[in-house]
Amino acid sequence: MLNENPNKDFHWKSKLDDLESLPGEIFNKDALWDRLHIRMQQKHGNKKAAWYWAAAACLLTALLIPLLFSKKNGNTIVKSNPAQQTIQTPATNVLPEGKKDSFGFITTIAAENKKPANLFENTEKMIAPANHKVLTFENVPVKKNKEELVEPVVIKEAVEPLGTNSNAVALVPGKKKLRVVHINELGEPADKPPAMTAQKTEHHSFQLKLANQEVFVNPSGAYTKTGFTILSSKNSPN
Amino acid sequence: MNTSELIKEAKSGSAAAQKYLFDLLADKMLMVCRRYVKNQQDAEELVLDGFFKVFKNLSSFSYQGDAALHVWVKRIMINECLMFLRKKNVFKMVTEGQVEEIPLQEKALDNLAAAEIFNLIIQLPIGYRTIFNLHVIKGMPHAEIASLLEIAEGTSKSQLSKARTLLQKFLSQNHIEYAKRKSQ
Repeated sequence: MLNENPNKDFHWKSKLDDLESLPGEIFNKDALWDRLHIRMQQKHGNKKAAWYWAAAACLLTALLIPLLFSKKNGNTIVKSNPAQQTIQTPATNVLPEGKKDSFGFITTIAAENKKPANLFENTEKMIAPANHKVLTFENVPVKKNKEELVEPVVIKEAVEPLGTNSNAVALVPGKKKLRVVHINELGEPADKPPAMTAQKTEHHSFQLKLANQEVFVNPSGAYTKTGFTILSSKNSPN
Repeated sequence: MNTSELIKEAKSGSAAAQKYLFDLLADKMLMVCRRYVKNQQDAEELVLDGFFKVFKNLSSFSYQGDAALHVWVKRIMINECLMFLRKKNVFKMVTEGQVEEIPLQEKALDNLAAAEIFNLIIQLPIGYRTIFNLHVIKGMPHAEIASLLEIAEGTSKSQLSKARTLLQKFLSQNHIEYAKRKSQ
């Protein structure tokens, strides 16, 4: 033996090492082996079970993560009515007095949800704010009776909110006062068609300055049959 | 199948090879354990624990001959025995003053049979026996024994001195009895 005293003079140590059994004592080796074997198998089984549990946990996590994300994304979907509704109210305040028999509507788009900004968190496109007002002029015959104008005209798919693909529902409270939008505030880029002006022949014309162009409404009342005014423009000296 | 192949098979998880190794070594290892732990049942439990560790760590063992295998397994068994004794807290030994030492006549031990030597050793008190086994039979220095058993080095020396004295007394009695038996 390596660690034992290398005492060559005495043999009693080697005799002791070689001793395998004592006379009269029984050592049941097979029973001991059976116990050892069972213990080793249990340990092996425990290891296997641990691996199975770990695999099951991974699988469960992998299944749950997409589920959680889909729930999160589900919040961004706006609860909407099947039919998208846009309420148009007559733009009687927009035009100066005396032009109220002209046509034009303010379309107000409002989401039902009180926190519309949160609804569009993940959209990359520009979001239309709540109560966004779009001035539209459509070829709708003007009704002179104001009583009839109180009831808003409900049309479907009238105006799409800017850059949104959501189904924002526009429901305007009836008593809510609409913001007055003056026509001169509606400066649009020069490349857009100058459809923002409206006039009637018997009223004075007004002027828009778009980019370096001055746009004049023809005072002679050159209404087209479609109801749009004919605009003329010239380059601004500035 | 030689021992090297047997170990390879046992490493790969062959139960048959492991059983063969167990059968080959278990008897001797039981005797080793019984030198440290007197009780047969305790010794069997320690053999069981020791072989469990042997097979668990067999992959780290590189076979370099039968003697190396025996030394490795024996070391595991002795460590198991020492852990068992430490748990039982049997090493509360104090350094005592110089005791009258009677030198052990090892030549007298040579004349005895292995079983007789074994019976003499296991009659020693547990502290004496442990240090006698570690120092005289295993060849471990006192400093190492002291750190292993968490005792003072002087304690280890004094315990060994007492063990030798007691063993010599046993030998003398044994010799007298042996002489008596021979004379009858």
